[in-house]
Amino acid sequence: MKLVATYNIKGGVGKTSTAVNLAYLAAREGQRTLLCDLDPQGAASFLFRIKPKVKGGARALVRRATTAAAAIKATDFDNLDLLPADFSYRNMDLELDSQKKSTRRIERLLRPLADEYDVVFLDCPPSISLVSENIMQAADALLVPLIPATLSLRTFEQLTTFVAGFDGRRPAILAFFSMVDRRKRLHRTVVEEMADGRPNIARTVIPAASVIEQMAEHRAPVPVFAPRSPAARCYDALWAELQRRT
Amino acid sequence: MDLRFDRLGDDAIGIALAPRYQTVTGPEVDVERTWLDTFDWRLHGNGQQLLLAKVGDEVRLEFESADGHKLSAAAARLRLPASVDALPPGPLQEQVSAAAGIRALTPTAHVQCMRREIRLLNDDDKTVARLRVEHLSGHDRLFTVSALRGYEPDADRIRVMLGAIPGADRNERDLYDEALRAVGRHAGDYSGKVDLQLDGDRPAEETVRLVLDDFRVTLEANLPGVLSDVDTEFLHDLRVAVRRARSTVKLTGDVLPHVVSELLQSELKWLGDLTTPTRDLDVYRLSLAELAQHLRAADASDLTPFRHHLEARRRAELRRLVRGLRSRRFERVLNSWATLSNGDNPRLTGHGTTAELARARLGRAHRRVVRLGSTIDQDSPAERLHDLRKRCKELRYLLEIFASLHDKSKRRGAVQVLKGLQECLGDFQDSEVQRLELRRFAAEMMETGTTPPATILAMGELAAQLHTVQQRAREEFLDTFQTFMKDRNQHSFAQLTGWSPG
Ligand SMILES: Nc1ncnc2c1ncn2[C@@H]1O[C@H](COP(=O)(O)OP(=O)(O)O)[C@@H](O)[C@H]1O
Ligand SMILES: [Mg+2]
Repeated sequence: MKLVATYNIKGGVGKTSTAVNLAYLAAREGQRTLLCDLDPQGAASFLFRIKPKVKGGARALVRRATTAAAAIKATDFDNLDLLPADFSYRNMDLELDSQKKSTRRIERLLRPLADEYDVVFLDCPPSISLVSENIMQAADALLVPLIPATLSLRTFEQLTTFVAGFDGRRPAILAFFSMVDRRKRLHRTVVEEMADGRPNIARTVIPAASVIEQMAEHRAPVPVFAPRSPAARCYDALWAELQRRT
Repeated sequence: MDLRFDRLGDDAIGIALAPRYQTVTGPEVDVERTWLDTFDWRLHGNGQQLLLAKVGDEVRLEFESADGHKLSAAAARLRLPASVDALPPGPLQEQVSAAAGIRALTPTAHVQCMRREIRLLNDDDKTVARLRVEHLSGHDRLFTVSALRGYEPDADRIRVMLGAIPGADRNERDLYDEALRAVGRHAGDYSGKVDLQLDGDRPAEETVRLVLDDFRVTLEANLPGVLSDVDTEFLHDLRVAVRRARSTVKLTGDVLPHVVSELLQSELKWLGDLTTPTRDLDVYRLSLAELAQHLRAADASDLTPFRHHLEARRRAELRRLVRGLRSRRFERVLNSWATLSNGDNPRLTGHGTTAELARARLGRAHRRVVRLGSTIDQDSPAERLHDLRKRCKELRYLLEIFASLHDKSKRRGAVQVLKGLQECLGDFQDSEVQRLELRRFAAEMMETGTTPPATILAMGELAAQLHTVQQRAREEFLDTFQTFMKDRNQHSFAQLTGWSPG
């Protein structure tokens, strides 16, 4: 089982859009795929038309090993399941904090699913918190969307340093530029300069595209309703690159 | 099955499910189902089901275990009949292989129809279940509701809501039974075991005719599989039928007209001999992997040229066998064998009842085993043990033939102890035969001048192994026979034959 988390300390950068599209692509290839919607806002659950409700909420999820498996729902797509969000996840930090080995809890709760899935995507809420630390401990790969802005570099390097401080296993990090507008000079220069000589930054770039915004109307991944769009091709390339590099 | 497409029922589905669920109907696809099993129904015997489903252009194997657990695998290039090794590797192959063993998978029934998949949506337009509607012959339909994970309560509710529509209560297993019936078969209609229901009060002659006819039916059932070399067990079962028939004629043939038993006696011997070389080679090929595992000095791969040699020899022998089975002589044997049941030859009377025959012949066969076995000691020549093995087989066949006349538990005791003796004698003789054959093979292979010395050396090691097996069997024989002779065990026989020990 391979665990991929989309992570960024900031919101609105494309974490959920990326997790949803890549999970769909993995499943379409035939990999048994699970997407865990860990954000109390439940954007990923919404996009798959699944009610953001987990029996017992964050408390049960953190405490009982059976909660996750019982809450999983099939999406409309073969091989793709979803662990829904729940509004109580806003208290996830507190729940985790009350546990022993509080930074390894999420890893533990996913372990019983190892036989069932080949790939698990974790869609994380924006923040630095116990939740995000748990996710970094659990993940094999962190997929980090970056908006092309000068500050992004700093955020990214902070994250790299933070992960480097882990003892033992560390996730691979792959950042990529998200919502890129080639018409903007700033975007072009940031993308070129930052990508240069940094092996952790993906060659694939996800452009700013209206079809990606339209996911909310269609409530479906981009390749389902716009299979031939440039954005769909970019997600394909990103998924291929992620598999190649991590 | 003759199938017509029929469009009725879609409205009925929509009406049955409204207002709770909306339906989205997918395109029509052509579906072909071909069920597979071994000739002796090993999957069915385990409560399992395997089918090759062609849906549009996609071909998949679908497996269902006795507890309803399902597995599937892509199977685009599967040729039928197929050995289990030809299945795509994975859990499905493992399950099927555990059940089928060395037997090939052959098609048992076939159904072709049109299928539509209907997605059932809840208020959020989320798919909560999939409904497959298949249009079979006439107005027959097959409904399959599959639940989506996490939405099982919806699927249950949908099943109930659809319950009112005719055909909704049928499932794929029913369909299999129907498809089998359509080709005049039913699951379990062949078994290699003797399963005769005899009537003890019937005249003995009638029963012997009936028994021999049963063996002929078994032989004929296996014939096509031998001729097209589907798997090795067709020939095995065919040979067993011949041997059982031979023993029946030998041990009870005196109740038949003399000319009939005389003819069968000699022709069945011919038939037995005809099949022996191919079967011996089969046994070799099947046991080679096991033998190779115990090699010490040599490497299993050293035996590859030997395996090739066996395969080449088998191909040649099989051609000879097939010629024999297509000969006029074989046709005549089958014809005269068949006359036994159609009463084309005169009947005799005055041989008593079936129960009397059973008692007398079992008694005699049993006494022969006891008498011959008791004379064997450390120094007896090997032939004596080989003879005893034959006598044991005869006794065993009689026990099988007359099984329905006996109390199950008494019979089981007798068979159990006889089996132990037969295994020991079988090891003794088979390892000897195989060792002697091995010399012959080695000589043949040396003559070609291309066989690597390592192969001949490995074969030498095999010969030594076989020799050890034979010696061990010899050492164990006296103990095994003593066990057979124990009062408790002889008592089981006494009860079947009316003979009293001591
Ligand atoms: N490449 C893109 N181009 C245009 N809009 C995007 C793109 N990626 C995301 N969006 C939109 O931006 C908003 C936030 O994206 P989302 O994936 O939910 O980010 P996050 O999960 O990081 O908060 C959503 O409305 C989404 O449709
Ligand atoms: Mg999000």
